[in-house]
Amino acid sequence: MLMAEVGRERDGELIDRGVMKNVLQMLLEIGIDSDAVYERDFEKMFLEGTKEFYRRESQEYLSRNSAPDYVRKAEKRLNEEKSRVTHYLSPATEPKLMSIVETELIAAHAQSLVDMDKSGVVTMLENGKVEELRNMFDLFCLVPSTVDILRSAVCEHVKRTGRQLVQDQERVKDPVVFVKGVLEMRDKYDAVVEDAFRGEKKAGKKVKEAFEHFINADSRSANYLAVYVDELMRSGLKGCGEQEADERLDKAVTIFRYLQDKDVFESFYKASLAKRLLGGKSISDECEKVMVAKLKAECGYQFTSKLEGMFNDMRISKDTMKGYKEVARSSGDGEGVEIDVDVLTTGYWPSQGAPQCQLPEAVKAAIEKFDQFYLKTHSGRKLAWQTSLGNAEVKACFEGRRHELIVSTYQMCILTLFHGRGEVPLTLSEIKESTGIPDGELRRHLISLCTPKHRILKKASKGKTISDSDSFLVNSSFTSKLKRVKVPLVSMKETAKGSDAAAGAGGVPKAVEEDRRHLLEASIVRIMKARKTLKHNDLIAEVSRQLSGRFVPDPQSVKKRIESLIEREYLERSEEDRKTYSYLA
Amino acid sequence: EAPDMITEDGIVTLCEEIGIDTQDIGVLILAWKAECDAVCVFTREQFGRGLTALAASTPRDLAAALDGVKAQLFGDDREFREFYMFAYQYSCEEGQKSLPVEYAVALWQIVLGGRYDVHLERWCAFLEATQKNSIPRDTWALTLDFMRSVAPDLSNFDDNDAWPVLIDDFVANCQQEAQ
Repeated sequence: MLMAEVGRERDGELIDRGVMKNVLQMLLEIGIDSDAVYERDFEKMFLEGTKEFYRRESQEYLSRNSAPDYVRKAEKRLNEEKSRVTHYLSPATEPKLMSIVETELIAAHAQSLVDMDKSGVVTMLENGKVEELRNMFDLFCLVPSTVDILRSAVCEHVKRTGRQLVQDQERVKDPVVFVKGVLEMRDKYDAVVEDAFRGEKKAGKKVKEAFEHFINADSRSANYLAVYVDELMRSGLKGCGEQEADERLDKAVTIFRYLQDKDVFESFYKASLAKRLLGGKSISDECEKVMVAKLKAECGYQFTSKLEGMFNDMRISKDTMKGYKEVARSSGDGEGVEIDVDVLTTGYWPSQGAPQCQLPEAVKAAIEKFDQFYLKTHSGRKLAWQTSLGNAEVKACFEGRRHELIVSTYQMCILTLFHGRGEVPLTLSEIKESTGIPDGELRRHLISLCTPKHRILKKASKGKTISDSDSFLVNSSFTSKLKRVKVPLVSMKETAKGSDAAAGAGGVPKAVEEDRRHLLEASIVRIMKARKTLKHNDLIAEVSRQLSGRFVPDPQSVKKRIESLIEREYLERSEEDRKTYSYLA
Repeated sequence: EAPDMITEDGIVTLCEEIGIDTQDIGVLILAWKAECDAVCVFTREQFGRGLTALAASTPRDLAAALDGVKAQLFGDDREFREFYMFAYQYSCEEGQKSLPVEYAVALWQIVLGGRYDVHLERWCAFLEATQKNSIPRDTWALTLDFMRSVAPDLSNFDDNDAWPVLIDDFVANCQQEAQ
């Protein structure tokens, strides 16, 4: 029987293909103009037999072998069957034959192969077995629906690994470590898509989804990324050539792209940029500008206009200072305290809010002189001195030892109070009253002057905190190896307020929430004005689409804004259909 | 029937005369027909207008007419909605755009009680327990739609629809309590 011969060949025996070919040719010819005889007397049985054969073989093989081995075997069998057609079957049989083999070998077992313990997709990814994965991909491509299974498995693994990374974060709490981890994953999976999936677009898309999923599952991701870039700008990019710096910033931007809450990132980025600019902490102005340019390319001018404004302010301030110093010099007015001023445009920089504290007379005189100079050329403007920022050099003499103390503005105010007081201590309340510094900050700046390493002042109470009735004296036995002593500030852990940056662990800062409300309303009004009437779901979809470049609004928030606008009579509900809104001119 | 207005006491008397409770929906119906604009006050002109609209000249006529309108309202969705919205407007203070929650709750009980009871009790309890703000007009309006269209077990409610957020919160609250 012909079937028996085929069976033997499949078992690995050599058969006489010539004879097979002749017999089958005969069957074809008997049918004269059709293949009916061939089909009835041979093909039908052949196909059924083939199906049964592969059903059994695949199941058996699967239970005893690893996934990569199975893939290889399947490939082999597929090639064999093709060769069988070439050598003695009718070409018309090929599509029917291949379809059966593909179904039995691939479609029937795709999920099991992918999920196989110790050799399936997860194992391949964990052990970097790109070639094995590619073989599986190539095999699955014969049955396109199975490629979905493969892609999903990779996607799920990325999500799982990503979530793990986030959870590890809980313990490690180093944003830079987190971002580096994500970047490593990106590189790894970029390679997987390129090599194993041969650059397939759908695979790339699935992986992108997975990244977006786990990155946005943690609301601190935006903050972490900002901290990562901050570290790059302060030290990480040191010694990098132009191209390397560009590459590293590009990578940071790829993560930025995944972020849903881009406006939260902007808010953190602005805050850390402000600190860097004002403190002169950036390694390279060029790198800063490159980063902003990249963000602009991603999100448009609106997104970065304030950041660029900040750079402008710094540049203009330098020119202003030059002009000021020349004027001061030429008018022979070289006396008094020397100041260096950065003039900041209010809208661009993160708001500080603290009112001006009481400055020493000499300092007041100096800033008044600057005020006069500046307002002469910018008469419409108002200058508000941000005493919560800035630093000062205070010359101090400790039992004959002269030092220059680099301290904050607040600390300068505190220290000048001690001038000429000798052994008479100052109490906390006296200091508070004389300087007008807010309580929390006062304690923080004071305690920084009493630390073991920088005990410039002696504190009456023992222990690490300041008591309400505490008093302070200059520590005349203060010593330091350096002439210029930089006094570090204790961190703000106890003082709970943190300007406009973080709002509790993750979550959206208040300023950003407010911003979003305005943006939502503006968007709703704009859309309704253009469309006149719109159904609820369409409105939500339009608003989300318009704002998606900045953040993803949740439907409930949009609803609240719609309600507010209805109350304020910008919109109304249609009488006939409660789900439709109309614009009220 | 004092000089030019009927005020609270007068309304109490009026109610006694026609045999209804002061909290009865009939009082509101009269105010509606009379086109009143301030709670607990009928000007002579308004009162007259009301009686004319109801074609009533005696207390007995008035009582009967009010019953008639009540029945009519409950049969005509459109009319009822008109009346329902009037009730809100009427109860708002001069110049105010929204109704304090306690007044809204009392008003709901008058206008919806006995007819839309499925959700009414839970709705009022929810508001009394959790709401401090006043009820905007839009929310008042949609509450009627809610009472009319949403199943007792809340199964056909979709919070992605255009319901006011307060109603979404109410449903979420009910579902949470059910667990």
